[in-house]
Amino acid sequence: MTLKNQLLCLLFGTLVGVIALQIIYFNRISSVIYDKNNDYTSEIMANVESGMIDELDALDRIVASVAYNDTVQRFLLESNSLNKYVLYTEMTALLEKMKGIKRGIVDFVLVGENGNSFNLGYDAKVQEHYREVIEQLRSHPMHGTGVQYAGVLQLAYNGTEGMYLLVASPIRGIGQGSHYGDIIGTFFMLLDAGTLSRTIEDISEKTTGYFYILDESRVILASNDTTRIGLTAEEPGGAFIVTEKTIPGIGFTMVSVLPKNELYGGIEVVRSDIVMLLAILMLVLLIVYLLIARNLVRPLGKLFHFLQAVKRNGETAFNERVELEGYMEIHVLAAKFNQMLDEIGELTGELLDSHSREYELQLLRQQAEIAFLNSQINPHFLYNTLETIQGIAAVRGVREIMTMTSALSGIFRYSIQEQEEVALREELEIVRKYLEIQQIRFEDRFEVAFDIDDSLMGVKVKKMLLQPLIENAVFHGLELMLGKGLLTVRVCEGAEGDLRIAIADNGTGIASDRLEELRESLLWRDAPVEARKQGRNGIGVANVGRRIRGAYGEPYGLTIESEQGAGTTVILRLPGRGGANVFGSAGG
Amino acid sequence: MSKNWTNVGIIASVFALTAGLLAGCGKESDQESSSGSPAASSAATASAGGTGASKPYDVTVALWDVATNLTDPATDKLLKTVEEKTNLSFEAQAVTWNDYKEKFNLWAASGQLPDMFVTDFRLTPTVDTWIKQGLLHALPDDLSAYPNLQKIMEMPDVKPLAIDGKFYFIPRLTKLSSDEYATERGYVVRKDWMEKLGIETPKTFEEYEAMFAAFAKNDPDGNGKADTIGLTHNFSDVFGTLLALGSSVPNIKGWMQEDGKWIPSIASTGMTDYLTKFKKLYDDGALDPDFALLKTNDGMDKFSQGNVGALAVQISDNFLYTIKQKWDKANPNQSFEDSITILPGWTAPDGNQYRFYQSTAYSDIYFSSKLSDDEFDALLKFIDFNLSEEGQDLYSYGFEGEDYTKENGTIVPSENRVNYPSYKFFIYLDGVGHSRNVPREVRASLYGENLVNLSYDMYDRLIAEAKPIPINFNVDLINSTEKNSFQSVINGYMDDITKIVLGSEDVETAWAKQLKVYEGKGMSKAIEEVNAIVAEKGIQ
Repeated sequence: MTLKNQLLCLLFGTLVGVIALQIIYFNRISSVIYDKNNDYTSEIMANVESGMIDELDALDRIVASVAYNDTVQRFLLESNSLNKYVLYTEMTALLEKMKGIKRGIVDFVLVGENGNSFNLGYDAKVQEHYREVIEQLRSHPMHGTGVQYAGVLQLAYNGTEGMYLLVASPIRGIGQGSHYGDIIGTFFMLLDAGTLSRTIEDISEKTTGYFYILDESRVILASNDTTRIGLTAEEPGGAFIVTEKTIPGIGFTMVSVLPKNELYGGIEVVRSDIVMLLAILMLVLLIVYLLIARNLVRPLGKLFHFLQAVKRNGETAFNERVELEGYMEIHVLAAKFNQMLDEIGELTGELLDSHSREYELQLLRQQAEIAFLNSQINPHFLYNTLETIQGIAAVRGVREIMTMTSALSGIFRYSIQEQEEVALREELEIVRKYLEIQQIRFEDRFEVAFDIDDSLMGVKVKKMLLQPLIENAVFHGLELMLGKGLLTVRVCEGAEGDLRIAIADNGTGIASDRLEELRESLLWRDAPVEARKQGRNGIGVANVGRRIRGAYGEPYGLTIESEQGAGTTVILRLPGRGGANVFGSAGG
Repeated sequence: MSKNWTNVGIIASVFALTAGLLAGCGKESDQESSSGSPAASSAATASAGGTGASKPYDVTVALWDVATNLTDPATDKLLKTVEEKTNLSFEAQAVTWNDYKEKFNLWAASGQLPDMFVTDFRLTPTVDTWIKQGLLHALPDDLSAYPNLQKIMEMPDVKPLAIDGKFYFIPRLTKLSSDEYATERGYVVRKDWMEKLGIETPKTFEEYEAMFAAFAKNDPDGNGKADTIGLTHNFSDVFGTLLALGSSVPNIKGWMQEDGKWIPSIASTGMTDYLTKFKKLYDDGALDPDFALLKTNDGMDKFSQGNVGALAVQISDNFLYTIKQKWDKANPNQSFEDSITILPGWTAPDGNQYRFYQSTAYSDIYFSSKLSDDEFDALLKFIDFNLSEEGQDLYSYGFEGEDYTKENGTIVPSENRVNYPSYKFFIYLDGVGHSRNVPREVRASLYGENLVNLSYDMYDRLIAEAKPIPINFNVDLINSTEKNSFQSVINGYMDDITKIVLGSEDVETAWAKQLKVYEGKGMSKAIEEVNAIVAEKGIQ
């Protein structure tokens, strides 16, 4: 799995995990809220009910104390005008005081069965209301001495119309006399419409749901939904939890209507919080991911591609450098990587440089050699001149001149031959000719000895291998010697079948430090400039040695042994008669 | 480099988001808690400024039916304007005609007297007690800051009311002159019934009584049922004093001379005449059998139902209008103006047609001693404003440009004149609304020309032809201990009289008994005292 994928999986996993957690807790909170709201509502219902019962209880007591007050009882039964007036005055004073007993009492009305009345007024409509209530009361059985009827009505009172709570009760005669136990009148109490519903109306708006107190005909007496007071209750449409409870005695019903979704009231806050948190979390995760992607995943990817490109494109890619942005580690990595590529580049460069320099040197050397050779005199001119000298020498009978020029001519002919490789026989022939010349020059100051294995005469060797060495031996070994020198040329077969040629002189030898130089220069390290420093001797030996080494490689080559004052021996080691190196015995 | 900036940008936006979320949560709760205060502070500053006090004062006011008339300044422009102008905020302390006596006594005893209240306890021991107990705030000696008020306090029927040179109340001027009481007593009679029964306009007591009886017994509404009432009344005291006009004790609640001595009218022999007439009305069925059980204003309701022949009531145009409003509601198909007429009552035994007459104020405005000097000053300025022309215009007509326009110096009420509920409070407080200063045209626009004409015609007639009841203010307004003490007995006259009327005893015997009771309540002492003072002051 790649870094990027794993990272994404990780982030995604975290997100999923958190969402799951949130959902679980949201549900937990929801159910807690639901339960709490439910409980709270039940509490409120209970409170309202008990509050209302208290109110009703108070009203009951007032009814009882007024309706069964002695003055009131006598007034309702009195027919004598004077007595009635006196009782009336007393009763008026009493009832005025009673008004102050409880908050909300507006007035009292008494309607006597015999026509005596108090506060009934003379408005026909108002009287109608009261008569209706009296009718209603007649049709209901009476229980107890308390309020028997309660309703909220639109009534005209004191000149203005308003909603009032009207409670009523039939009054039974309790005075001794003929009316004992009979209903002698009806007692009405007019109260503020809100009296019974004070507890409901005080319910704070934060509470969910609606509470209603309905009278017997399902008219709403009180509610915390004040717009519905006075209207008939209807079934609520929609998803509601409706609870009804009848209040004993008075025939009222308490109803609570809870919109189901409001039971979750309060959850909106949690929900929005959760959503907000999730959004923030997602944002944060996204940012984290982006940061890591930008600073780690992308640069690593880039590096990855770069390496692949290098692998594919090989040498050309090596000139590219990678550019990575991201974490500090990435920066360091990129820098070091580039540094590495730089070094590789440098090293490769150096390698190429040295190689190309090598080849360049070789080229220059060869050019030098060629130039050197080309600086030789035109051979044809030399032949002709030498033949002319030979002719003249023959005529005049100078044998030395004839020998020398013949030899020289032969040498020159040989040297301009294009063949690179010749049979050993031929190379030796030239050696002989050279030595002839030298012996004449040196007036027999040295002798030459050959020790050659004839079977090796046909072995192929590079041209101009031996002559420079012979020359060296003569001019650096024998020339400076006092006394008679000896030059030996020996050709034999080595133990491994290789060809060994040794050129030895007993001349002055080579100083040890010079010897070292020579040996060094045999090892391909010298530049032509340096070679020149060593003088002619160096060129010759080094040249031969290097040519052998260069042509045949290891272990072939040239070795020099010398002792100052004793002599020098140069030993050539060449490939032997293995196959192609061998010419036929026919010379040529 | 740009990538770094992008990162910074992203991180910054995350922080901004988080900060916003947290700030949002905080702000919500802040808003909830702070929403209360701006409303409160604006309420406090709203009532600053004006010609009155430098700070708004909350004053409690008690006056008959104040609770109905003193409404919410938010909905009542008149109230709001006056409150702002005077820097007062009025709060009603409810009293009605039925409970005021008890309530004021209760409040006085418990230290709950309203800051400003109106009641008719003048010349009663109650007020003396209140003054002695220091419950009342005396008016300042120098009233120059309140020019209109000053004028009132110097009226002839006000000056005698000073106690030790100080005034402890401001008279509530029901009228600007005593003559104006002429139409404060009378009978609203069913003209249509008179026609139906062929009754001529009565003049004598017998004629009146016959008419009332006929109303009750002769089925004037023609429905075949004996469901009609002859005469009823709207207020017991009004009825009592109205009956007195046609009796030998026209000034029944006051003092009269008899045999060279000043006595309370109820002690006079003339009471026999009064009581006889009263009882006859009742016994003959001419008077509403339930007359004693009527509450104030029940009479108007009863009359409006259409089964009452005559109503003893004030017959000024505003009262007629009130009855009309009730009548129209109950009898939308019958025109009130066409159905009624007004009558002044019968001639007295001495042959005079008397008209009602009394001190321009029967009640006064009192102030609680608990008021600070600043508050008292504000209230006095308010009263002064009410008595000023500007105030009277405001209460009578409303706002210029809205409720009326002035054309060539005359007031022209506009069609959509607003009837501010508080109007009743203000005019009732000072009584100036009863005044006839309001031009006839305005009254006609308010009450209808018919009723205004009816009332004005009666007034003119009475002024021209009737005599004011004989009152000597110098005697009636004597402020002395025994007299005041006995005045409260006099004030209960209707109760005593009613009992006699309802009873079966003959009036002379019954009243003799009653006089004995009065004796026991200090009548002689009061008579002695008054006559002494009369002699002393040389009152004629």
